[in-house]
Amino acid sequence: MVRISRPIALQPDEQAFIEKTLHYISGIRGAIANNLVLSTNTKFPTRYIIMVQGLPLMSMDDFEHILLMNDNIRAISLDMANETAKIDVWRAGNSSKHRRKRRRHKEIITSAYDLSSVDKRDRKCLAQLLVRMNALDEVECQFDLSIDTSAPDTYRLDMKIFDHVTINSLKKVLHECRSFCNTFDMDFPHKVIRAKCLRLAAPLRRRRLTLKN
Amino acid sequence: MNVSNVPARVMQSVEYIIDDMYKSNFAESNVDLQIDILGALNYTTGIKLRLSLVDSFEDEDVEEWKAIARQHKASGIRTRVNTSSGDIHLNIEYKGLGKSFINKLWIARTLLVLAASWSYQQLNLIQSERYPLPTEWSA
Repeated sequence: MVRISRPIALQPDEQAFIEKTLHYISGIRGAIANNLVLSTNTKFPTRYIIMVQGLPLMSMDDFEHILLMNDNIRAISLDMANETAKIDVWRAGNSSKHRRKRRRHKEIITSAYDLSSVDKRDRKCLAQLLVRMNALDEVECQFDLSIDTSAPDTYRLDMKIFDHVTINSLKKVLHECRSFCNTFDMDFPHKVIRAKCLRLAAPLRRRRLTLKN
Repeated sequence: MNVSNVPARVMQSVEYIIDDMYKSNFAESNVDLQIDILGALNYTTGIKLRLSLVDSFEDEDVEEWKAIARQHKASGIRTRVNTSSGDIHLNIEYKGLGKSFINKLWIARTLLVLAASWSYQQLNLIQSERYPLPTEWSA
């Protein structure tokens, strides 16, 4: 007797989350709604996976908004090489399970980057950011890096990462490097993760709040 | 901006490994097999490969990959199967290569010291008063 496992139907609130996520992404500046491709994997008994292709440039805030829309999100992983984001969500009633993740401890990082175009004072900071990115468990390959030094107060680092990266890992790196790194932008069309890092010599800009009538 | 730390002989070895994998029993049973180089590893010397369009694989296949890798001087392989995409990621590691480079450096330094001491000894034999042995320095 052959039994074929069928996908487990999604609950209405789970379908609503998928619709809202797509609606949110299609509303991001630069997004072309017709280019978005959605795939779902609902075969797992305790979780379901949403995969979106054809994404526009997205910031960490955009992913933060998606995380806010559902308390059961297990992980969001990004595959910049294939321009996809995978949202892994617990099904209702399964979110409280804590599972230990297997970790591979890297003893040494062998990647090396040429930072000669960067100001000497800033090299240490940028090297620290690159080491932390390389030290992530999911990043096993050396990634391509290009640095734009044209802006007077910031550096723009374009990282072409070949492995999957999770939003949680990026948040961790951003927190560790918060003194000089402002944000990560995920430029899916160009397949790069873009980091904006402050130049140490540049003065801080004051934030101005302007009220419009 | 990347500084490549993959020696040319490692790249050569990886190319041989890929050629041999295409000729292996595994490739015969997976006729559409495609092997791509993803990039250099960041935790050791080595290369990450992606095997796509794979129907199935067994323990023997992994053993076969290990044997091919060892045959071409790799120290080991790591495999990771992504069942969502159907890809197999293969990390080919060359752990001993970095150390052998350091050993060569130390061998060269030792040879230099030996050559210097031998030439000093020869000078001592020619003019022992001008070039005394270290044992006579204190006297």
